[in-house]
Amino acid sequence: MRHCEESDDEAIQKIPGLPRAPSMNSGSLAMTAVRDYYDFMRFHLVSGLRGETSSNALATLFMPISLQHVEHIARLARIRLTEDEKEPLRMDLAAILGFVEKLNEVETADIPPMTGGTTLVNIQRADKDARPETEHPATLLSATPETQNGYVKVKQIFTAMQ
Amino acid sequence: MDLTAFTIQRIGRGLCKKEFSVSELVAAYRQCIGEQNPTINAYLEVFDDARDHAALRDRELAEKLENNERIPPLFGVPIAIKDNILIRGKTASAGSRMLAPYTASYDAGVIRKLKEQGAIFLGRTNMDEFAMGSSTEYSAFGPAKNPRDASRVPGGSSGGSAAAVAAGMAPAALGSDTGGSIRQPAALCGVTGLKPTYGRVSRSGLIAMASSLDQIGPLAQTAGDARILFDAIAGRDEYDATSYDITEREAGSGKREVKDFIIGVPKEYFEQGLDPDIEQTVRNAIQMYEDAGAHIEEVTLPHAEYALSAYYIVVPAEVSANLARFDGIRYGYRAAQPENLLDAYEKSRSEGFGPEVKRRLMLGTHILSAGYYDAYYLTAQKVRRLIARDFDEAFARVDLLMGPTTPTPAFRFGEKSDPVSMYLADMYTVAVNLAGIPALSIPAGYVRRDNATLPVGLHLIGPRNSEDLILDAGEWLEERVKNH
Repeated sequence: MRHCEESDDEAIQKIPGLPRAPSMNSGSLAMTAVRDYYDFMRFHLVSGLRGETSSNALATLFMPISLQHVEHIARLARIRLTEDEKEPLRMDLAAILGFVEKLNEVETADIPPMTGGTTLVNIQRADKDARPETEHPATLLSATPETQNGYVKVKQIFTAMQ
Repeated sequence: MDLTAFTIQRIGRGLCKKEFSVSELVAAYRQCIGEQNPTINAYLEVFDDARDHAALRDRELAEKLENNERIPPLFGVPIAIKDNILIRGKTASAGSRMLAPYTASYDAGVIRKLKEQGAIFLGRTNMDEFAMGSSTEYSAFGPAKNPRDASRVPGGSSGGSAAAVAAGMAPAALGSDTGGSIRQPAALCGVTGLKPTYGRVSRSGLIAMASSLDQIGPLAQTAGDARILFDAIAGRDEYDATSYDITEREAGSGKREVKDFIIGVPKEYFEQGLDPDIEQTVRNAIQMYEDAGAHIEEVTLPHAEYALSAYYIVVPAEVSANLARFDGIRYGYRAAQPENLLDAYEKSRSEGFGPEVKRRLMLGTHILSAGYYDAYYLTAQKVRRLIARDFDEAFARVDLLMGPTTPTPAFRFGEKSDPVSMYLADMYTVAVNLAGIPALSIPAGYVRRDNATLPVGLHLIGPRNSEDLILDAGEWLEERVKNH
């Protein structure tokens, strides 16, 4: 399927639809998690080309994430993306989600989920004011970007229908 | 007398014998910071009031000595604090533009405990934004450099703390560890770093990344110093319901001899991707324990290969929930001239967060959204249980586990590691956080790379509440590596 003298990079470039790592400023941000994710993904893909990974695992690499879905998630996360950011993020998400699909190999049917790091249960305290003295309203207000008459100032929430 | 070469233990003795004053000590560190920080960028801010606090400590010390009072081990000891731990009245930016304008309104639980002992805070240290990263290259304020070789990363996310200790800019520091953020930089900078058992140290006042994994811990020059700092910050705090005290029995029965140790060596930690020189250094260190009479046993952690996948679901999910609070309304960065409330949220978050934070927020939001939760988050939590069980089964047979902290020595800025190395790099440390158990990284030797001598970390992993045991084991090797 691939020539021996072909580098992994070259082999990858020939696969249609494979997300590519977005070009990055190599000086400051090259050692990034995006790169990590792409490396993971390429590792899996190359393993697949060598017949080391099941075709099922390969299929998951191309799990479709549409640009519309990226825009939907961004809205839910309250992040505004520029047009330039959308496609690289779409590829990142597809790559990462493809990577974590590895968990499907594990038989988890009867395993109770581990929902946190603690082994404590039902830690209770007396039902009285537990707020630290330092959490004074004036202290907290001083941290807000904008206040007016002792209130946090925000933009109008309800606006008149046009 | 180079005061900046002293350990916490040595500082304590020196202060009690009046060899030097707290003010002289603080001045020496501030001078060292002034000389080195322009290159290393370990500190984002140096606290000028440290001098006033030092003068106050000197007066208190004179009184205490006169009255034969007990001097706490951290009294007058200058400490560097990671930028995501709140000190009342100080900026805490978590390495992010989002919190650059934020002043802490209260002390973190660990800061309260350090203040009770009379410690002094030298400044706040550089880190990857919101602790997401392994090199400090994601700091919004420029990366920190490795003091061994400024062309290499100090590791991350607590890279500023590790670099400060390694360069003599602080005798010790606090960091936080969600997937290796204390141990990995400790290994790459050649210092000692402890990730405590989940819940042994209060998370109150730690800017949250992934709450079920985060722990604050010490970075120090020696295991003995790490123990002093850990003992100072550990224990129940009423503002963190997951924090707890332990009895002496739970902590283990006194100091044990190395010949009594049963040490497990997980075979999964020595597979493909491990730098051969690192493997040799780590195996040599384990051999030293065996030569001293410890019993060495190969063990297996069958789900180790899934740790990273589980981690990359649990972390972004918790990140997306925890960072929802940064809305540009209550604190932190607010974008100028928003059109409406939604615009204010979106603009503030888009301008305030860097690329890695945005990526994890997006991923976490997707994972937790309707229809995906069971497939991702629930599955990851089940695998997390299996990973924790692997450790339980190993600790039924052995006292502690040993392996490399990182698969490679400190890498260069912008360097691209090969994929398998990167996979394993995260795997050695993240599983410990998923299981909630403690682990220590101590210097085990050095490797040569180009013209640099780069440190190698030995990773010692123990069952819950075994900090004393792994520190004992680390202390033993430290004396031998030093005299080697």
